[in-house]
Amino acid sequence: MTVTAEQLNEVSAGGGVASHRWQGPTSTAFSRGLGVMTIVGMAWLLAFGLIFSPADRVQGTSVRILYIHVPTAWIAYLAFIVTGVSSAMYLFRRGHSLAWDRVAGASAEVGVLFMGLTLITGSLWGRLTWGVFWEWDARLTTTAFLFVTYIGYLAVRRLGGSHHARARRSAVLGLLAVLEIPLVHFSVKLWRSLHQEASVARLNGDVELDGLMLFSLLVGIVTFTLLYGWLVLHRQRVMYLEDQYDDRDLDVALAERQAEAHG
Amino acid sequence: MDDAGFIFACYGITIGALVAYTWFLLRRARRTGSDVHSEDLPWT
Repeated sequence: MTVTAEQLNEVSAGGGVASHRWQGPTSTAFSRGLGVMTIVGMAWLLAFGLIFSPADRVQGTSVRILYIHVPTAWIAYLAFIVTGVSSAMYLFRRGHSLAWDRVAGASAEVGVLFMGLTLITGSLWGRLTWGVFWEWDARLTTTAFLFVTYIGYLAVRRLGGSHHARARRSAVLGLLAVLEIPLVHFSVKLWRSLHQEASVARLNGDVELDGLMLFSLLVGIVTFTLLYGWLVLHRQRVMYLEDQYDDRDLDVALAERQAEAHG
Repeated sequence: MDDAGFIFACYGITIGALVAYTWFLLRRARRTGSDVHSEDLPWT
């Protein structure tokens, strides 16, 4: 695709997206609705997490960290699984659409954010429960390894080259990295671990939580899932704009070289 | 509330980081989208 001089002039003259101050170029009615629901959910999470939920018989009030820590970990898993599935869709579907690559990249970036928050909130909770911020325990170590792997994935995405070269190499890494998730989740069963086993997502279906605690946890999970959706939606749209920007820069450079050659 | 400092730190860091990332994302969207025509956006 080449850009004509008229098109370039039109763009530089400010023919951009006309939008209200609160409507960015990546915003739609659906994303605004999602945003409003996320804000309402966050208010509910603060109310139930900090006020209405009862103290735990064993852990006391520190159980309130559960409503933040567990949802961030689950959303990080979800984000990395979405990255893996989108990577597979890019690699194996006919057409190799870059849209799948952008969803994979956006989801990985949001997943790294949530995984980082899982590690921080977990270490604060560990200080209260175990007396230390960090222990080289199976769950903590595998989680840290997963976090570093996806930082590596994001670094690989920035190595340069064409959009499809970026998509191919990161899709292969995205498919390999997702295999770490079962290792992290089942690390508490595979090795002796300080970290407690699952209280909700158990293979036998048992739930070891009081009703209001379980509800507060569900509020956290639903809210963070909505937020995850909103963030990925916007991030992959920003990536689309950045890709367009790169293509246009390339077209401008080619137009300049052609003008030099003919001039 | 026992352990209030740690609990508020958890909530504060989490919400603060998420708000900061959201702000960064919207700012980046405005910058990259400022010279793109709305008809070039597949979601509009």
